[in-house]
Amino acid sequence: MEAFVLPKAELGGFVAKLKADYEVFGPVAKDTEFVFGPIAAAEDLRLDYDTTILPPKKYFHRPVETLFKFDGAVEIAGEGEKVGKQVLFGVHPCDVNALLSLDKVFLGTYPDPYYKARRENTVIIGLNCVAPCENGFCSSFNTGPAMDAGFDLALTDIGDRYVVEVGSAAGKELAAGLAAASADDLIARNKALRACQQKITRRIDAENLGELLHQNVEHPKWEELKEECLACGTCTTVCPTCFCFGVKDYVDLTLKSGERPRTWDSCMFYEFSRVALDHIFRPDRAARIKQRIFHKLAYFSQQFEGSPGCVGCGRCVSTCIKSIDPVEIVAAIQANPNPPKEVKLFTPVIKKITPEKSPWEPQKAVIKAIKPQTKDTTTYTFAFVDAKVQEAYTYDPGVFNMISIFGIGEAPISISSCADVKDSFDHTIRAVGNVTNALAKLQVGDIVGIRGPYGVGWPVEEMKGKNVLLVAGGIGLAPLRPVIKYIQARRDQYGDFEILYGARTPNDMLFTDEFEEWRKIPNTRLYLTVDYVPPGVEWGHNIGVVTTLFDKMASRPENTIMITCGPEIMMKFVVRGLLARGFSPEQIYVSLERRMSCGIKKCGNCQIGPVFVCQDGPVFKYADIKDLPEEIF
Amino acid sequence: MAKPRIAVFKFSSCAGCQLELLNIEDHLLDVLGAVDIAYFVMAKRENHEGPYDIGFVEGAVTSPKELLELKKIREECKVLVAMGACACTGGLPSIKNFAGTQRQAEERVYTELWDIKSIPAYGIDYYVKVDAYLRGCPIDIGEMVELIKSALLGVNPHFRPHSVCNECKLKENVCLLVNKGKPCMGSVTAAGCGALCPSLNRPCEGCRGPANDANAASLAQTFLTELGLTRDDVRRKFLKYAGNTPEFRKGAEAV
Amino acid sequence: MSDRRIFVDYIARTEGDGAIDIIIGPNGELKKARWEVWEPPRFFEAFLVGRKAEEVPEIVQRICGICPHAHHLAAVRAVERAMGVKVSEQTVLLRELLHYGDWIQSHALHVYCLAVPDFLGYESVIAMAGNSELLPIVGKALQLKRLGNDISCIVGGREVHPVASTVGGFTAVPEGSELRKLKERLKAAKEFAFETVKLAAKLASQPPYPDLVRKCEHVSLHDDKRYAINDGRLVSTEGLNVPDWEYPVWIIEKHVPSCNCKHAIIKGRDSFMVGPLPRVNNNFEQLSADAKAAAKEVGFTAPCFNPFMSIVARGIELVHSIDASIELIDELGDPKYEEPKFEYKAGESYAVTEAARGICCHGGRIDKDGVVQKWDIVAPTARNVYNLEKDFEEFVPKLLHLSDEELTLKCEIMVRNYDPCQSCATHSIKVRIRREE
Repeated sequence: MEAFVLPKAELGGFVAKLKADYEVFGPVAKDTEFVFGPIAAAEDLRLDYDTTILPPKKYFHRPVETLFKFDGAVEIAGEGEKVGKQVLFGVHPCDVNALLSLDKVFLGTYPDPYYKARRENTVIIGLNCVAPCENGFCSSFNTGPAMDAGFDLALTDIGDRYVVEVGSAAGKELAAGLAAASADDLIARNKALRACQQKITRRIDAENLGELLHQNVEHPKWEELKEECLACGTCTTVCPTCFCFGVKDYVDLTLKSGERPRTWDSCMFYEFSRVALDHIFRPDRAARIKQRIFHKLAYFSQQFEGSPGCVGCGRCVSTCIKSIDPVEIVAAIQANPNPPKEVKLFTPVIKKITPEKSPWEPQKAVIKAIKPQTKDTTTYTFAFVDAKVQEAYTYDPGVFNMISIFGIGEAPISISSCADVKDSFDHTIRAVGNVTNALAKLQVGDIVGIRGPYGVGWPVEEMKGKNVLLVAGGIGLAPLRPVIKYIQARRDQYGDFEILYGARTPNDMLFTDEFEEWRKIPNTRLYLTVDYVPPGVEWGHNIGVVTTLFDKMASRPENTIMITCGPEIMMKFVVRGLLARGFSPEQIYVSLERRMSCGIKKCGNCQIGPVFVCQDGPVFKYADIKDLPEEIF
Repeated sequence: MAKPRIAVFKFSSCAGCQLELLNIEDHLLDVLGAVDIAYFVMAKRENHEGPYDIGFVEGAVTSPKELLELKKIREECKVLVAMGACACTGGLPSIKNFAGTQRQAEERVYTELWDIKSIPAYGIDYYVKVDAYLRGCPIDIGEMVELIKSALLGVNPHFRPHSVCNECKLKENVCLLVNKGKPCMGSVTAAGCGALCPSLNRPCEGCRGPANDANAASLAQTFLTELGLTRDDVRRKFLKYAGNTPEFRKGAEAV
Repeated sequence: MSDRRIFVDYIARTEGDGAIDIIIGPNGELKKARWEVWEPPRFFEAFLVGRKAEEVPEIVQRICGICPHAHHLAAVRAVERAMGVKVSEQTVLLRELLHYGDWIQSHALHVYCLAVPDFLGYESVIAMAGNSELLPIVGKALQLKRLGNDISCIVGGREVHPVASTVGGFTAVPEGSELRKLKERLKAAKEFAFETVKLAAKLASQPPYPDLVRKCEHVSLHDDKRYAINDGRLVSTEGLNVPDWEYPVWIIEKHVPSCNCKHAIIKGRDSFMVGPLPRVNNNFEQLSADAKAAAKEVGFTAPCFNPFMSIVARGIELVHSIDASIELIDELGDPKYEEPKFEYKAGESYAVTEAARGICCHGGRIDKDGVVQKWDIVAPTARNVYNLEKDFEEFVPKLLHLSDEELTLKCEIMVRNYDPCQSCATHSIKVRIRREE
């Protein structure tokens, strides 16, 4: 460890020197509390602070950040707020470690250019804690009272001076001119930190937390918390590792130009998981409390290479009107746990994708054709305006794009064509929300924005050499159509192919004009069913829910892969029916829908347990997700 | 595209919300350029018959005559907006609903009663379907402009139905409840005001009505047991701007 | 033979819901001249009973969206008087500045958006803005209104219904730098305020307005030292001169059938007028030098008993409000936060403020736990209803030669002279003129 000393009397000069090259931010007093704010001189700094209202996260992941501006349908300008060189002075170990966790979110797959620019332009001067704060429990996760990474310089108060450790080359430059720390100084540092460590009495036993929580998804503590919790979301707003946000378009009164900002969101909010038609995936307060606690204490480290989701800063406890406390929650469960059972924690595979362009910037695509499918569902054929982009564009069956209508917003929509077609791609869209309704008003020649493709599609490679059973319900046929096209083009690589398709009425069926062609695919059978037939409509097929077709199909579990997409309630009964018929969860693939604001594993809206539907899915092997703490079906 | 026809109606209220329509001085001429103000008695002498594309209704319904008018307005407006706390939840006039009988209220104010006919004060959605709500006493100008733009675009406005605490924390205000022991209702009240009152060191009084999934009973317990409010104090808090809502009623009934 | 009836079932460009109903007999005699306020009752006095003292100013400001500050400040002072709460000089100055902000926005709104369209033959300011010659004036008027609103925002927290002002003082005080920015804008706005006085005087000098003079008692607050807005003695052109808390002793009201608001008289005398014209008449000496100069320039002399000159009085008060605000900002310097403090104490008192449209009185009784036992609210418009009807009686017979359409408009102008706030009055306007043929 390379270390220097900074006498407290020289702090003023040290800060003044920093000010020459950097904007300096640090803890300042605000009424009875502290916040991170601009520092004019060392006197502003309150290095005796315990904690701040918001963590320094706010300097990197801004509460509101403009992703880009637009003018008219397509012009995109601007690249977010410019950042100068800055110093964050006096960051406590918990917050330094939280930034390291956030780095995994924002710099991992699809690096976020705004976060990245700020991280790169910021020098962190940490401040180890020599006195415990009231509600902190950092030592539970080794995220305090001392830091061992994530800083350029780290200060430790040893009375009349600070021991200054060097953590980076940039830090070393800033330390130029300081006297080297003596052995006594280092002994004093270690002693101070050890003394502090001993005074931290609040602790979560972090061993096997994931298993413990999994085993106690049902526990009286959650119902108790549900009665207490005000669902105000403060715990997440002040959390240094919370990263969730929402994305919306705002226009000026021309209705044409405007901007697309992202704004901090919270899983504690009732509407957090809302999708079109006002469906809410997590309406129950207890479920949202569990999502927060599980995410902090277990999922985060599953999602992001073992990084802690909770750094024990204690802010959520200090600011909670009801003093809801993770330490107390875990203790209560440990004191009265459910009988242990074996649980398998599913950890999705982490892919690292680094696109050349900003992952936020949509590519312009023009509508080449519009084909109505049903009363409210239409197939749009798009092509990227830039021919080179179109040429390079390829995707797996079952993945999705984020479609933008500037001024209205962006929505995830699965691709309904197969990448074998090179000069265009299709989306089959039901007009149910802001974006899809606006899309319904567009015409051939109009331009939209496309980001993608995103996600994991159907297991077309694994299916090779096997029989395929495809079960679709309603609009759920759209993301499955690429598979049909894919198999059609490679028919000899697959075994028997059965397609079961159900809709509410004959009029709600998609791609009806392609049914004949599908039937002609060798060794392929198409079964149709509807819930009911309105008077006057002709129908020569089955009537009943899609599972009533199971008795007619030839598919058997042996050497078969089943893929399904449709309303969750339908998929639930399809999966149950097939399990009863001897299919194993390993053979079953489902495609899930969740709210998505980014598509690139950042906004957090689509999480189910440790899973990001946008990147780990939307297609999942049922075996992987069936035991997630948040019950799917 | 023809300019949408806008109408502004007033029931029992202070006119503060429709005044806010005129308080958008900086955007006013732009807004006027984008819409056709067909009916707005406080601003215009020539007012036209319906139908209207968007109707803004201010005020609570407190007389049988107003109720008939409201029903007619509903028929005339494609989109009906409840503008302000009175129209959304009954607002302050609804306090009288919880203070004895209607007749007792009348007798306290008027000595000669032959001419006074009034009914309890409810938000307008007690009587008719409402398409959008502009909450607050008074409404927030930013939200109103947002609503007008959304209506012009034909999309749902981006309102914030979660708690005021969220906006308050983003401003890094020192918590009036946790740190200063004041009975702030921000945790159960819908955001969108930018946490105006707490930012000015004044506890939220809940004028915007309950946030999504508000847990008023739990907050009422905190007021009673931790902040030392009396049962009457707690009831006064929850039976003020939005006592008609089931969420805030739970707060009043919890003590 | 039928009566000639002028009936306006709602009076546009006023706040609230009211009607005018005038019936003229076959020989030109006035059978009925009523300003009917149809604003439904809201029972503030009823539901204030049982609320806490500190809630009263917050609740009563919501009687009116145009003059919330007047209600708020009258109630604040009444509660403070009743409970014996003393406030700092800084609080007094901030309250005055807050109230001038409201005057500026209210007067700018009334003159340009509610009154001027009448005189220029437009149905609304929206229509006026459609004339490219008038558009710059509308733009400036909106800027002036914005300035008044910004004062309210910076001192009180927002335009309508202040937040920071409370019993005992202010929960937050503005930054001195913000106030000084306002001062620069106020200085810049002076010229347009002068133009407003000139425009108003020009419009009010058109026939038949100069001939429509009716002497009546003009009542306002008065303070020898400064133009009375939040505090002062209750005075009149007929010699009333009493402390403001004696308001309920001297001004009596009666309930009138077919009208939801109460009519007011001075004890032992008759109807009276409140508002900018009585204020300028009673307090001419206390106006700022520039306001006096503006009055002189357009030939305004106090006392003036032509109600159509109210618009001129508003212009004069706009000039004065700007000067007074600048002076207050200078006096305030850099305000320091002082925690509003009060203790509950049993007591009873009243206090009066000057709303933009006239005196506004609040008061009542509070028990030892700070619970309101009784609360009275007397809003300016309610004071003026009876006086306006006397205007009708005096002026309508002089205007019978006009067509019904013209006469109706003139009657509406007579109402708008008072800048009525009909929500206040219940605690509006439909004109109906009927002539017998």
